[in-house]
Amino acid sequence: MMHHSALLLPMVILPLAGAFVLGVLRLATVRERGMAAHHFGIIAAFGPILSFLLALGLLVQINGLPGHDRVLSQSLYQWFAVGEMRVNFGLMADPLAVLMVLFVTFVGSLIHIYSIGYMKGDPNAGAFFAYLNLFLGAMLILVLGSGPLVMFVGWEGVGLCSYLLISYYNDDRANVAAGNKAFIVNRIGDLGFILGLALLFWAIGDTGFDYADLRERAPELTPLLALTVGLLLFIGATGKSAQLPLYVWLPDAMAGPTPVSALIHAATMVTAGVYMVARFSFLYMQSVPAGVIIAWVGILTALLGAIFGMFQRDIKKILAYSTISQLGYMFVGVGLAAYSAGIFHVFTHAFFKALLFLGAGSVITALHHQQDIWRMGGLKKRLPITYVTMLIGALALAGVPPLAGFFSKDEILVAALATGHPVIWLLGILVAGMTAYYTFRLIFVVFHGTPRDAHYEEVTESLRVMTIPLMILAAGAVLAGFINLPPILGGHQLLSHWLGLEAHHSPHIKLELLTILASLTVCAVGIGIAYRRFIPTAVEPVYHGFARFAEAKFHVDELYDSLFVQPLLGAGAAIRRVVEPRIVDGPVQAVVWLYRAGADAVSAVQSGYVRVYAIYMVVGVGLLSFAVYRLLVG
Amino acid sequence: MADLLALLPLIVTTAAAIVVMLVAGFSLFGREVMALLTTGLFMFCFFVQAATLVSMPFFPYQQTFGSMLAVSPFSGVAGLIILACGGFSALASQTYFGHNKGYVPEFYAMLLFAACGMLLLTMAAELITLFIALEIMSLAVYVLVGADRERLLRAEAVLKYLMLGAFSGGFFVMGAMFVYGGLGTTSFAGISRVLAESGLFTSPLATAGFLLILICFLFKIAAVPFHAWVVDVYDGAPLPVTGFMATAVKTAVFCALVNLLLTDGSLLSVWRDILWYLCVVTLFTGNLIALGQTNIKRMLAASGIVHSGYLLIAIISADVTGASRTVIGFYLAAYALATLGIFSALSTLSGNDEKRISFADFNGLAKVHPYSAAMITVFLLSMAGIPPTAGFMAKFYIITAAFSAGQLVLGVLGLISTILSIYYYVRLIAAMYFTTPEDDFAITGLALAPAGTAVLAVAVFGFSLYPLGW
Repeated sequence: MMHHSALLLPMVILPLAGAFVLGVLRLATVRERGMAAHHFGIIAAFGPILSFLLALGLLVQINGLPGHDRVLSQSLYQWFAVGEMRVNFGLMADPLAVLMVLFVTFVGSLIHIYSIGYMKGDPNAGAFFAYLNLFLGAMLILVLGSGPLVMFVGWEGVGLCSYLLISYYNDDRANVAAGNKAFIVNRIGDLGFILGLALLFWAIGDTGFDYADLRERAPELTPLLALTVGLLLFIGATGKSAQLPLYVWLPDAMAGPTPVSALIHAATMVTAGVYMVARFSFLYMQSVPAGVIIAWVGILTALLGAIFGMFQRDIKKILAYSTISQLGYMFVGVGLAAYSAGIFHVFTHAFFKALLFLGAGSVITALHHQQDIWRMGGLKKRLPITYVTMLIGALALAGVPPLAGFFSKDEILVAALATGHPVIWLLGILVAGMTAYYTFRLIFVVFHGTPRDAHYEEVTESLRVMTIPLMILAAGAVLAGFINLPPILGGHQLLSHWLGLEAHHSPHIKLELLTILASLTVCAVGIGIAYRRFIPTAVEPVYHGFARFAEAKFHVDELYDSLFVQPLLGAGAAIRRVVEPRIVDGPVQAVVWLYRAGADAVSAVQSGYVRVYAIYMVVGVGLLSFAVYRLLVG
Repeated sequence: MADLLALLPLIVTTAAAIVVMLVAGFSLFGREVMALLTTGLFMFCFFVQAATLVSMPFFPYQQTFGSMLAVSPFSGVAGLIILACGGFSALASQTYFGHNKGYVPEFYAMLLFAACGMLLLTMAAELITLFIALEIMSLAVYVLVGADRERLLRAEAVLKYLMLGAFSGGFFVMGAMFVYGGLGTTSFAGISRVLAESGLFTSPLATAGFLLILICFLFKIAAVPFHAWVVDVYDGAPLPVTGFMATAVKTAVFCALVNLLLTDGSLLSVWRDILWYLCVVTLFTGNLIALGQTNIKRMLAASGIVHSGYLLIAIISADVTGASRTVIGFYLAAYALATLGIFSALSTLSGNDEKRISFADFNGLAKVHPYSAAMITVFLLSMAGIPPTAGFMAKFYIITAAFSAGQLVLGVLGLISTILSIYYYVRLIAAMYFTTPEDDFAITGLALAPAGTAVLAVAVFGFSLYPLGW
């Protein structure tokens, strides 16, 4: 039984309307001096903030419903009907969606506010804020869609905004190339996603294609079909959520403005793949192997991301690889059917990763767009607020108790051990240690030691409008973990119960103790190594051997280039040189010639004399009369 | 009383025309006010028509005034299109006469009188009434074309139009006489009753009469081989008038033709084969004429021939139910939106004395006026039938109708013709976007025509979403 809620539509519409208004304003003022950037920003902030308030209303509404029947929906109209396929455009919210919406709008609001400061004085800020609002609207459609096709609208919408915002500084060709790369790599994933949906429709979609219908009929799927659909959908997720082998676009995506990296490429959009797997949990429950494959892809991505993260020198790229790595963890969670653990990590990660990115943005603006950590150093005296808040984010990311990352990461690792995957657990612990190391490498090199920046003395703390969101997010990074406290630490796993995504199992006290001890140890070791290397003074290292290979990201980009891009370009060039002029063009040109000759003939007849025109009419009358005569006689 | 209510739009429009005539006679207002007044009156008539359409409990073919007129939803929709065409043309003319000579205040009265004739034409259910309506419309349009007597081009155009129009009008009167002689009635209902009893071919006189009437219609819709006048006349007329003729006149004439042919199944079934050949010849000859043009106005005139061909497809595939009327109405509306849009844009951009009118004159427009170029592109794409425009949906419905009526060959030929037509539409787009501007495209005058153009551009997309119930 679904309950109606009228809050869903306005929540989606508000940011979209904001995008429209901003777009019109931008077009209207582009010819003149243009509106000031912060005016655009202030208008832009309304949509997300109001949506957040509506999301709070939704939370109240959904908590008012009985425990096992918590679905709110708003059906809008029949979108299309083709043959047997009837697709409604509707919105739906269950606890999972409400949680996503809450943090998406909350983090989104903060980042909109932060952007007012960050984009100050940018001549194109109108476009920036319009895209940002559009992104938020698309993300909400993705989360609140009542069926896979509505989700797909949002899925593509966020992809478009991501592309637009990555290539936002389009004066530099490299940024445009990065946007293209993100878009194209995502298309590859989307192909898998579409194929998965088509297969799903073919198998069980003929009685309705909403989640509710699909959930009912999912048990009808044969194991092979469930596996295929599950993996095809997951291919979509590897694109959007930057997993092996399609992760390559995310580091390049850091070319966009830093608030974008924080909102889209860390906190919200990239978690869409995780959300999708959790949303289709009824499907993945039909196929354990699909889940195991997802978990393995996740943990290998986590490992790879962590290795790359240890050797990067660009502050945003370190965080980008860290995001890839943390997304890997989330997929381990949802892959092993620990959906609430995976989503819990999505939730906590949103806070501390957005915080770290915004902190990085604060550092970057303070240093006039310097991103190389080996050009920074000693900044804690100059940027005290940024330092303290980023330190909190780093502690959360590294998994230091009692901050957010500690709880959520451990829950995933416990799930790995409990479902009988010790190798995944071991790799997970290893990655936890590496995470602690690269996080504190960043903190120590950037904020401690001696200054390396030439303008060190002129560096000043960022504007209030930027630092206040940092502080709020820091508070979130400290507190977010407590909503799902495990029993072993005196909690009741409130969030897991509330989400109700999986059958609840009895706690594994021993496994949990083991995991906590192991992760605390590797965390301490990681931070310790970083401390010994980079305190009191860090020296810029010269990498050799494996380290150098890792700094060059295992040359994966080059490999993809020579495996896929170059052959395709070669094929295109061959078609242009050989097939096009010699095979295709001949007949086409012949038709064009014939056509023109006909036109010349006709215009020769079009003489311009009235008498000639009258003669045509008479001829026409004659011909028609003859035809009628034939009819009459025959 | 119900009769009068059904005729309310016509009465209001006629009253408006007389008011404008009087105002023009006393020279009360200047040019710009006259344009705005006329636009406002057209809008008012439009709303009266719309209100009548939705509020009246229509029976199909309700007879009014002793079967002289018949008001139906189809005639109502055609009336809406005609009045909208009048409004947008008046709007465009406001800007047009800002930088062109040849303005006379009576221009606007004639515009309204032409609309009266057209409204009457859409409702005519009797041959003599139909002829009178046709002549009211034609006389007003002759004046609109040739009002500027000082320009030779206009005089030539109106002379050609008048002579050939009179020629075809003669066919009509002769045909009506033969039909009366053969069947003893001139009302559609009566004709249909007699035909149902005895069949058409029992009376050779009536057969010949219908042929002559059909020829007059074919002249008015510019079907090949009765098309030759259209390119010269459209070229010679002032731009807003060309737009008005291409849309409103065509709508009214097609509405009358459909009313006549679809009154009874047997009439159409007789002419179907002949119309089939005419339709194919019209489609392809029209395309070839359009292809050879270097002047945008002449190209659009020739492409109008092709659009008549598409409408003939719809008529040929028609059954006696209302579905084919819906398709035809949709096509007429979609075509009117795009055509009015482009003529409205040209009225603004063509400059003094229509100095910019060939493809080459619009080289590089996109770099100087990006929005105008984008809107013209939208209109051209709609005419060519590229999704997601209204023109695409209209063609889609017509081709679908042809296929479902079993006219496979005609449907395929229609598709081929669409592909051919893309060539000359895209030529202008290419000129606007892929060349460097040589002109400064300076524009003078009020921004009313551009505003109308923008409304139409949005409507081209919006209308494509209008769901057509079958």
